[in-house]
Amino acid sequence: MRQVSVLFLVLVCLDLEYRITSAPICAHGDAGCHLLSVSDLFDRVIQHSNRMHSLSSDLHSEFEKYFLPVRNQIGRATRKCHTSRILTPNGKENAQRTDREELTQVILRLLVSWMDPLLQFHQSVAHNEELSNFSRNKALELSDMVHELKNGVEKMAEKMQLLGIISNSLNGLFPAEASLSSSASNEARHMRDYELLRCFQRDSDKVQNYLKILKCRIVPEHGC
Amino acid sequence: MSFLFIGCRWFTKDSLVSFSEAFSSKPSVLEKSLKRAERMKEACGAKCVLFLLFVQTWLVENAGHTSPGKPVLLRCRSPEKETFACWWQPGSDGGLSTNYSLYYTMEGSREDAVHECPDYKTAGLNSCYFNKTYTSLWITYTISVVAQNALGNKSSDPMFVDVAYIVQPHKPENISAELRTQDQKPYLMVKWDPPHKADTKSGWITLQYEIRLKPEKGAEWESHYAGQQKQFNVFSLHPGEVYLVQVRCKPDHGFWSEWSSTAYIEIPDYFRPRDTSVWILIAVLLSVCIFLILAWTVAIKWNRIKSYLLPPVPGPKIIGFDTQLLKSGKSEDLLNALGCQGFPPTSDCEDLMVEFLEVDDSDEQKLVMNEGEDDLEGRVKSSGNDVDKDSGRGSCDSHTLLLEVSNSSTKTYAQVGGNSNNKGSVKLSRKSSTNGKLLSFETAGEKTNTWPTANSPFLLARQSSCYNISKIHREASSLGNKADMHGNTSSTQSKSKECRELHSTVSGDQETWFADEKHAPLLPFKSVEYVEVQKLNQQSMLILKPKTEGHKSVPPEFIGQEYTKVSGVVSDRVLLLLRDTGAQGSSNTQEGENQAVHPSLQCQVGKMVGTFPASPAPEGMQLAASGYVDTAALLQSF
Repeated sequence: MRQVSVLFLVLVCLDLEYRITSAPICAHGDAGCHLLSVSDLFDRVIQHSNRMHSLSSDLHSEFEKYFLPVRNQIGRATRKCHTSRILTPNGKENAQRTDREELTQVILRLLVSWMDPLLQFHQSVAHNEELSNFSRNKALELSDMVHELKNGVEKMAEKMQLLGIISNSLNGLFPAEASLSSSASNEARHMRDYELLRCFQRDSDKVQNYLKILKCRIVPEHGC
Repeated sequence: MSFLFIGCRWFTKDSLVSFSEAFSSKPSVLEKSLKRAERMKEACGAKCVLFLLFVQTWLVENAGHTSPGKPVLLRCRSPEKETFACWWQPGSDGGLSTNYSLYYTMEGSREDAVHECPDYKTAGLNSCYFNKTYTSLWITYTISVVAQNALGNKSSDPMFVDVAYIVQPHKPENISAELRTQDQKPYLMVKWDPPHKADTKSGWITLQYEIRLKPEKGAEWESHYAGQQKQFNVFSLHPGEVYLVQVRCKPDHGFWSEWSSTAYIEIPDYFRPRDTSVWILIAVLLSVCIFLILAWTVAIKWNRIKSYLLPPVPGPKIIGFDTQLLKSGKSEDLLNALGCQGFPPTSDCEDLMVEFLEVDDSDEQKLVMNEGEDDLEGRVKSSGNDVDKDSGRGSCDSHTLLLEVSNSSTKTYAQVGGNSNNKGSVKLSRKSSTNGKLLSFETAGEKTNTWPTANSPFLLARQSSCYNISKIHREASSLGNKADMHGNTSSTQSKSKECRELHSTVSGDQETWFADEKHAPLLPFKSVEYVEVQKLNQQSMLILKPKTEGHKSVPPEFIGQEYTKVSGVVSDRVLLLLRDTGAQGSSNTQEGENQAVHPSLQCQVGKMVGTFPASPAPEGMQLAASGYVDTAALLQSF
């Protein structure tokens, strides 16, 4: 009896799981459904990056208030961001000239390179007693957001590769990035918090911009 | 320098005069000072003038000969995130021609890689324009302006610029406002285009919009945030006014553009009367008016409506009983209509209430009938007049009818022995008065009749029965006595006495008519008592049965006088009456007196069944030729 009940429970769970996972988002045919889901993914990812960017902007301005009372100092833009090595298109034409795969790759690179520094930032903020609770909470959110965004973009890239929207030349670049990011993160340790935040603010803006360009290139119907 | 000049000028004549006035006390000193001042003035004036001239020329020569003032960078803006421009405000130029130059350095490049502004013209005066080539996003520009003239130069404070964050687009274009209706409500649909230079198609810039509108004569603007869409619906509008609409835009992180050009739209007035609430109000008022009118008419005609809707319930009806016939007094027709076969009514008409008895023989029936008819007619008439129009008001057994009939009957008179000539039947008539009635035994058919009586009438009934019996006795005793014996209600006691006498006299006698001592306690002021006429048996005998149960019913109206021939009395208060009168009856009775039992006489009354003994007092029984029994004779005999 016990075996039977256990088996029954297992079956039920499986069945539920099956139901949950196999529930289709759209009722149309396969091709339409996939494209639709890519668009949804894009929207979600862009929303996420938007939130991330606004958070970083707020934090940056707050940190500047605390730690840099005098504005427009000459020595302000002294340090380079650790991500300056990553070649990113810095204009519209440049961005439009960049193909999808590379753009996706750039995004991913940026996100990956920020994961460790933000973790460090998280730790330093946690111990920082000068910050208000509100700022601290916002700062602590940041690393998680980057992580989530990175995962989202990866999923989206996989989907696009699956659908043939982008080629499969992406995967080859990732192992090479790991070494870059580690050296970069070493550099990032030496930066002060507000500098870090400034760099991150910029990079999140880049990411958001690139995502929007990608979206309007791949699925231009929705809000472009 | 100017002070000197002023100082020289100060000593004018006026001041001197005023000064002298002040010190008028010492004229000698004043005069001296005045003179001195005049001399000084003369000397001073020339010197002052010369000196001033010299100073002024010197000043003029050295006006532009300073280093320029510090210029101030006002702002840098990018309209589409592809180019940008900066503006500065020049400081004082130091009197010399000053030129301004803008220098910038870019982040990531070497420190000494200073570049100068590529374009000073495009953006206007005191501006620097960077075109696409020179614009790089996500790079911090360090910009400063240097003012330079012959004497020196002055550099402004640097400004750090990241082009991605200084975007301020141009104002939206092609703004249009259109009036539309939805469910009879007007709304404004505002449409616009983004500034043509901002590239939203490729996703390079995403713009958010804001609308504001106000009535032409209004004071404040009403703002609405429209998000990223390029149209917007405005609902809260006042009809009959001209509205001004404007739109502006902003990138994700950047600056708001200027307000676009105004679009004018007029809301026409005709939307207002289509408000359905007006129609609803009108409908409500109409319905209220109609309701009031209906209520008024109903109130006026209520009685009619009530009689129409709720007709009065008719009472039970006697089939064939025509009130009109009753009124007309044709008793025969009436009775025929009632369905009785001839007169007297047979046993079929048991249900009918006919107030006369017929106990005589068939020969004399006619006579009796004739006599009775006359009386009956009169009685019928009299009674008919007082009977209610609706014959259905009462039934045979209904109390009301009997009561009414009894009440309304006219005064009949007792004819005791009055008609002894004509009939061989004892005529027991009834006198009716307001208070009570005498029940008269009238000829009746074989039917049962009840004579319910009211209290005093009940009393009277009993008493009247007593009285009747006493009458009978008297009649028997004194034939030819044509005393009109009226039963008076006032003399109930006398009646009772008579009754008692009657009873007492006849108590002991079996042949007495009434010999019931049981009656004594029942006399007379006690419960109701009345006589019930049982069936008339085939031997033409009327069998009476007094009812001692105390029925309270109204005595019926006697219509007419009829005479009954009493044949004998049973000990148990049973009065035996003969149906047939006349010689035959008398002869019969005469014969019956002698005989112990008259075959025709039978007592079949309820419990009181007894055989009729032979009348032992033949001498008491003075039967007239007509066959009447003079009960009085009987009484006297005992």
